[in-house]
Amino acid sequence: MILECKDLTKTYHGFPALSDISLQIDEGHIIGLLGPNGSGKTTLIKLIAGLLSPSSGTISIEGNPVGPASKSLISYLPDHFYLDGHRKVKDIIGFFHDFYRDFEPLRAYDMLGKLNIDPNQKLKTFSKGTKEKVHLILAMSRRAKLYLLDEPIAGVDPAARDYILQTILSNYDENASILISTHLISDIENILDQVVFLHKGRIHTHACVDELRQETHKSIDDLFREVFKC
Amino acid sequence: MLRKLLKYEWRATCKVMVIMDSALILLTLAGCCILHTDIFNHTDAVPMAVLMVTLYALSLTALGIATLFYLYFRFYRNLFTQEGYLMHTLPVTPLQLLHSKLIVGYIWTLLNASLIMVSILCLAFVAGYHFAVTHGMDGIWDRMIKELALESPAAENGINAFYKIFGYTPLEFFRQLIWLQLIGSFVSLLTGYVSILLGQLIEKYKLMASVGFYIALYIINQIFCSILMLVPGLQILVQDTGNFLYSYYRDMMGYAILSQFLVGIVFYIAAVFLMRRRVNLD
Amino acid sequence: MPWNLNSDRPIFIQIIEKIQVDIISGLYMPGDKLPSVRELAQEASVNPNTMQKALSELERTGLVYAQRTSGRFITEDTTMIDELKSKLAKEIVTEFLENMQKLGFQKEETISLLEKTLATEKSTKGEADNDTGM
Repeated sequence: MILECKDLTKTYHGFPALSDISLQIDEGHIIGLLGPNGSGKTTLIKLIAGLLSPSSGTISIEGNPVGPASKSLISYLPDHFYLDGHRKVKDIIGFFHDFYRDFEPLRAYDMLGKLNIDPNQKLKTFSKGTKEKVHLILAMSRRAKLYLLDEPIAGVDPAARDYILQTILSNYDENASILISTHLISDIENILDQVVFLHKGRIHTHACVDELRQETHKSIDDLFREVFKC
Repeated sequence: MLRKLLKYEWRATCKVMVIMDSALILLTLAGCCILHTDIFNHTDAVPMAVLMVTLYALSLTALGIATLFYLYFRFYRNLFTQEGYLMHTLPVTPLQLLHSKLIVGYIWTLLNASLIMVSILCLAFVAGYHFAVTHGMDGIWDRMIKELALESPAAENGINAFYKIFGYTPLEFFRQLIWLQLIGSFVSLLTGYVSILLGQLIEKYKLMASVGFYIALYIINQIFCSILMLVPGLQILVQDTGNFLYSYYRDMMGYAILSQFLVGIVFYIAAVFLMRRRVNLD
Repeated sequence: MPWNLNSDRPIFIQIIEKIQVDIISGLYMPGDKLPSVRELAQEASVNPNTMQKALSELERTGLVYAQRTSGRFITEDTTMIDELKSKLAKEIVTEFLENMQKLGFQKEETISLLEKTLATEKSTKGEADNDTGM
């Protein structure tokens, strides 16, 4: 089991961002973490990544509690830029290679090359869309056990979205799992095989995508709209 | 892992610090050159001289403060803004992150403090040498060596006079000054780091809160130091030795060092505790 | 042929259907080797597990068989393929007839419409051939 959350709760000054989250994720899945804004998706991801500490409950990644061991197994892509723009891309690659044993620089250079991104340039010289792609490439160049992608396709043009989804698919590893949080469901639902619906900090549904489609005769996008109708 | 963090921390801080240090070295060289000329021999030049000395002193102070504040800012920016998302998801412990910043920061702080001292010494030396040379003082070297070399208080020279008043030799004074600088630099660095960590505990306006904490910690440090320094003063009241100033000055530095040492320990423990708490990044 | 996948039906069923059509239409000839699950999944932009499920189902029906190290191959049983072709064709026809009935067409009307449409198609095709000087 790659990820196990038991009765995970996170409260901010009495406000429960997440309540009693119990979740198990096995190897080889691409899972969509879906929910409206404020449902706790980013909070859950940050808890797993080790950027927040739970108010109660446990998290274990391949049996490890959150710490340096779990962080070496997790490749995390936040929903905003987090790399120093003043650094050159190749220096950032060197940095990742230094700290993460499972980082594969050749893969990164290969993906950058296909997009004609010059690794000798500083990150800040690139357009927003290109920066997004660089961030994604770095995250996907690791042979991690768990990939946490927080809104990887929001704020990006449709062609770039396709590229991002293709990259996620082409780097798929049956020994790893990918957890993608998003609210752009129709773009992404075909690459998911499981979904978790998060509503007001609680898990509403955790199911296989095709089973849901069979039961409800709806797309996940339609189902989402129905469940989270305002 | 710590070594890797140290490597990158060093690389990142090098550029700015080298620029600052180079500026100081240039300033010192310029000062040496100016002092070696006869500009200040006229009485009209006195205000000018005073101005230049003042500017020089201000520059040194500015450099010292700039070093510290740059290091504080780097700590904040690298760990508690966007980059924090990178640093806190690296496979390292929070302590390793703290230590990497402390070690590299300390090295730079000490280096800059040393450079400042060397700069002052250089200029003082050049000024004195120039004065001695232009006023035809022969054997100035020998005299200086004679005055400074002998540690034994029994000798008849400036050192002995110093000892009679203060209770220790200039060399001992220097030694204690260096200890004070070593520990003081560490505490200054830590004060900034702890303030930033404390600021992170507050919901909003974290930076402003950090500034507030910094002032508070600084004041607390001063108060504690003053309290501790009362001890030698009280000792004098209790005991009835003839030369009370003697023992006071002798112990003063020691107590200053002790107070800073204790403050340093407390601040370090606080820093470790706060770093482990797991931050809530924006 | 592009994969036109509808999100409101299980994807793996649609994959099965498309591969069946590809086999019948001759895009995949009997005995041909199928690309790997990864490649197919990437081509279709679907989850590899979903693709795997579809292929496993196709294996179960016998349309596709797996050789452990070499991969998956289309069956060489042409009878099975022909049977599948007839079955699918029948399904299309049945659906067509149902739809025509919903429109209110009687059997004879449907047949005559079919014949007329086929005739016009042939003549336009013939004209097109004449135009191109064939």
